[in-house]
Amino acid sequence: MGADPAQLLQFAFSGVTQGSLYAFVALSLVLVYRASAAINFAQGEFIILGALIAASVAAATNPFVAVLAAVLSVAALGAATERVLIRRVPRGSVAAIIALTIGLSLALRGLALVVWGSDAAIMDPFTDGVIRVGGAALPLQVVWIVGVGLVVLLVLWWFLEHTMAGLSLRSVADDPAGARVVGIDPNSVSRFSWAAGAALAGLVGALLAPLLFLNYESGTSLMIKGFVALVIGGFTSTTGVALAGLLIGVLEGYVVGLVSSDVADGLVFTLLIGVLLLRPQGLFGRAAAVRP
Amino acid sequence: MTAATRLPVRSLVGAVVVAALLCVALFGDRYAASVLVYIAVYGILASSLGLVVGFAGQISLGHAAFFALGAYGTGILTATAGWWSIPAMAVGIAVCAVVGFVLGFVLLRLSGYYLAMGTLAFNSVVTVLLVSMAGLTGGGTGLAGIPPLDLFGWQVGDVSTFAVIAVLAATAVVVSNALIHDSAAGGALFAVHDDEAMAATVGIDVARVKRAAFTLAAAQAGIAGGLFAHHLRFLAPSDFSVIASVTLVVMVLIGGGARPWGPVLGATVLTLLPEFITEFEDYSLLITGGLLIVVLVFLPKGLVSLPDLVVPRKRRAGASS
Repeated sequence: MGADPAQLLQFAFSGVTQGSLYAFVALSLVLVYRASAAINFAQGEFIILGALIAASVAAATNPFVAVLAAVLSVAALGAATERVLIRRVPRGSVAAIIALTIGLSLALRGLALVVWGSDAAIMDPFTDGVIRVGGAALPLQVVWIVGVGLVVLLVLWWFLEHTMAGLSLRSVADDPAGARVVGIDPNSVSRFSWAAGAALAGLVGALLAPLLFLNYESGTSLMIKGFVALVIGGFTSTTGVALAGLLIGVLEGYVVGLVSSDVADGLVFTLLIGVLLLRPQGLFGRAAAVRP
Repeated sequence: MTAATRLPVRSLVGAVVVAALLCVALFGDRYAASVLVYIAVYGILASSLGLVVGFAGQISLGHAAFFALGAYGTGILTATAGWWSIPAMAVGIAVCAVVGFVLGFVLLRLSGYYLAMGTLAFNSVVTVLLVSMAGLTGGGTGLAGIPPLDLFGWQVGDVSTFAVIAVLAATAVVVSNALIHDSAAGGALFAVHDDEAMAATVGIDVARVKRAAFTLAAAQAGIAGGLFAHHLRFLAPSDFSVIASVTLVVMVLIGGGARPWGPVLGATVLTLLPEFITEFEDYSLLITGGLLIVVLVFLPKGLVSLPDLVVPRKRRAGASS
């Protein structure tokens, strides 16, 4: 197996790459969950649409217009989803939300196939080149992803934990009727959180498009890993799910490198079952955050 | 009284449908018979998942894992160990039931998103094992060399005969689930579905009821697996992924999980859909997703409730809604 230090460092790099990606997806799910107690099973397709839109726009203009286009159009899609589908569902009706968003994910996957075909999105990196450290290479695009991810994490953490608007999101999830009494409109808060969560998904897609070969089918596995990070991190904690995403990514990076990708998947899902049974509030969540 | 008058009508319609399917199997071409086998296999799977999702109201994103255990159990025992079909399928079904029972203790303590995630994780672990235990399962390249179905020496190599057997097996499963639907046990399942605390108050052992539904559903998925193995005579892990589990849930919901015929209807629609739109193959995902959304929004009880729009359904007390 003789893994030399450069190789071990390379595994860490790929682990951090995957990990920040999972953390990013999980953060976008937290934003929605915090306000509407809903998990969007179409989040993976939101990301893919972001990537495909970004790649198409980037081909005609430049990467920054492309990122903006991806973020805005997917945000609009998120707001529309909340308005047209989610609001019809009684709050807390988990099965109905899972079913509707699964339907949406199939439809969006089908739409992406019809519009873009089955070819992967091709997009140039924002800045070309790689960083070399001790024989291991890290594409600069990953630096973009990690950097933007950190900024997003900080902003979200500050917004959700330390501002009145963030507090109103949580109040709506905890007690919509009570929130209405103190003058918060649960509908507009819920729509805002879906738009913001979708905007984040669009951003993730645009950042990823130059790094991975994403096509209409790639959303499912992204969504599943983000969901795993969400559960292990404890559903509501921004820092918790980000850490969980990173942890899963690094674990995967090493196991994929040293053993195989199947073993890595098996390990992650076994860990998940363990967490579900022994610490359902997540590794970093508070016990009070557990919801049926 | 309404139940008593309804029952013969329902049985009659059911008998006519089954007879029509058997005619298609016997007098149709090989293609029709093969499509019919798929409808029967996915009909069994959807009907069994209906016990868990539609009757008991518990979400499962891992039902394809039991399908896998049944299929690979039968496949390995017949192809590698040289067993006869019936004992091999029986062992496959028993393995499903045991795993379902044990998993019921572990996972059914969870609910909502946690249960969805737990069952999804179980499915993923099973898929990983199918790929990584290549010596036993053939790994990613698949398990080949499964012999045709034999009934104690009588080889069923002909797809029409096989379709007849598959349709009869599916009928048996759906009828038994319909009987459960109308029984006291079905009442208990729907009580758990509607309000667990209330069900517990009237003396229903909620955990046991859920576990029973989960175990029975797993065993029935094992039947579907055994048939599938003998039909294709080749198994690959991709047919048993989380995506397959999600498709099964979609079948149940499109058809309507709370009524016994709903899931079979959903399985039939989703199996036939790609056959009818072969020229527009690329549109099949879009149509499936769109159909699911439209049904969920406008017909939350599934396609099976369509006739209610014309003839309002007289409800018997309690049970399904």
